[in-house]
Amino acid sequence: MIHHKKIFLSLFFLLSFCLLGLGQFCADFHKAGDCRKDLIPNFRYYNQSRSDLIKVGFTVKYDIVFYGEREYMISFCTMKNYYPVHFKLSDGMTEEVFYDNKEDDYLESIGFAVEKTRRIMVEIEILAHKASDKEIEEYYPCIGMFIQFKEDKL
Amino acid sequence: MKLRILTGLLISGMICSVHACKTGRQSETDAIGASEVDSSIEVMQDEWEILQDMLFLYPSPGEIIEGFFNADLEYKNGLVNSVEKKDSYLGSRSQALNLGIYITDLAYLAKFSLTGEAVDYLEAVHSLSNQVGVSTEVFESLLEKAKANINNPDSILDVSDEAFYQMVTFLETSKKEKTLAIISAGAYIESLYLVLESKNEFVEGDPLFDQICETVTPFGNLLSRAQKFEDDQNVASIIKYLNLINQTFDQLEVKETETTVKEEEGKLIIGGGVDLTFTAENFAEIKSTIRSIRTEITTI
Repeated sequence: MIHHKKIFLSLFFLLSFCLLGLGQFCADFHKAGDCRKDLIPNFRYYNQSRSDLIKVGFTVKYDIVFYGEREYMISFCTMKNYYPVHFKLSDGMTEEVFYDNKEDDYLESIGFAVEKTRRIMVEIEILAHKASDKEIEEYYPCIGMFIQFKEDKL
Repeated sequence: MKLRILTGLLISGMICSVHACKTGRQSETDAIGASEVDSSIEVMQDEWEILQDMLFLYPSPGEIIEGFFNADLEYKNGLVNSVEKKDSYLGSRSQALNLGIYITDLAYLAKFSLTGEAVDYLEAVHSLSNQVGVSTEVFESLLEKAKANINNPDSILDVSDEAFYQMVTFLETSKKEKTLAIISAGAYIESLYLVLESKNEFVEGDPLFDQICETVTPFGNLLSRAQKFEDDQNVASIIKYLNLINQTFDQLEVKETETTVKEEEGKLIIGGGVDLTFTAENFAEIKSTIRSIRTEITTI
């Protein structure tokens, strides 16, 4: 009886773990996905990098603190068939657009330097030019945002 | 008999979910099919609701401490919150706030290469994390790594940053954003406490005071993120703290220059912005405010 209870409890916890694991599906995607091809020597990982679930037709928005006197590289990646990624960088206060990669044929990364600490708003959407209707309507891919930095007195 | 039936159902459930996981994804690079696993649909749709609003991000406590360290912060013995008190904090609010405080203390000790004490604080973080509902698995491997590298300050610092990152990820995906806001508030308050208490007086030109000004923007984003949950009583109470701190920041002298954007060799240069200036009066007021709030949080 006790043996059966132990088996039952073990299976219960295993099942719970399996289901909970799905909630963290995208967590480290930016560290393991295509974003890694933009790694730059002498740059460090910026902890406000992250990944999230996204859906075609929706925009993900982050308001990020960028310290001044630093140079940054911000890179975006997603899952196969969901490229290109469209992103914009805007002033966190005024919403003035600093950069829109639509003007650059949807380049997946951009380097920039910040003179004084500020908030920059990052808006991201996936255009999924090669995705099927089913992939667009029924699936949730990951979007990775990988940020690197180095000190750089301007 | 009942146990056999339940066990059978459980095994069936596991087989179904493993099969669903497998058919929902062809490989690690495939998107997840929302219809494949019933129990995951609710998770992802709720996560999607969160993504509809702006998500305010902010640096980790380790990054804040590193900024102060690079501005010549000196270590002062006796400032960190005693780990002896960790089991005395009752209630989710107090536990979450002090968890944030211990996380910053851990980063502080690691940065000053006090690795033995840092491991004690990692254990305190592990213990309180369990109390506030963070999975113990998040910290167990980190604790082992820290103990194995106890003489390596850089490794302990990495563990400190990784602990915060793992905790943030866990709380976000577990939809415990309110807890995250409270923990982060405790961490940020402690970071200011450690630097302000290390100074007995304001000294013009001391880079540490410029670095305090650099925390104004991160504090602002933390407050913005917390305000999404201001209907929660516990979050509302820490928003009061953050507002008090922001009121002291509002007294700093502001010099604003026009934002300029130009391109040089394929790189954007974003110039201009806001410069904040710290004075002796600001120092006295902010130090007093932070000390009062921190005492309230850490007193049993």
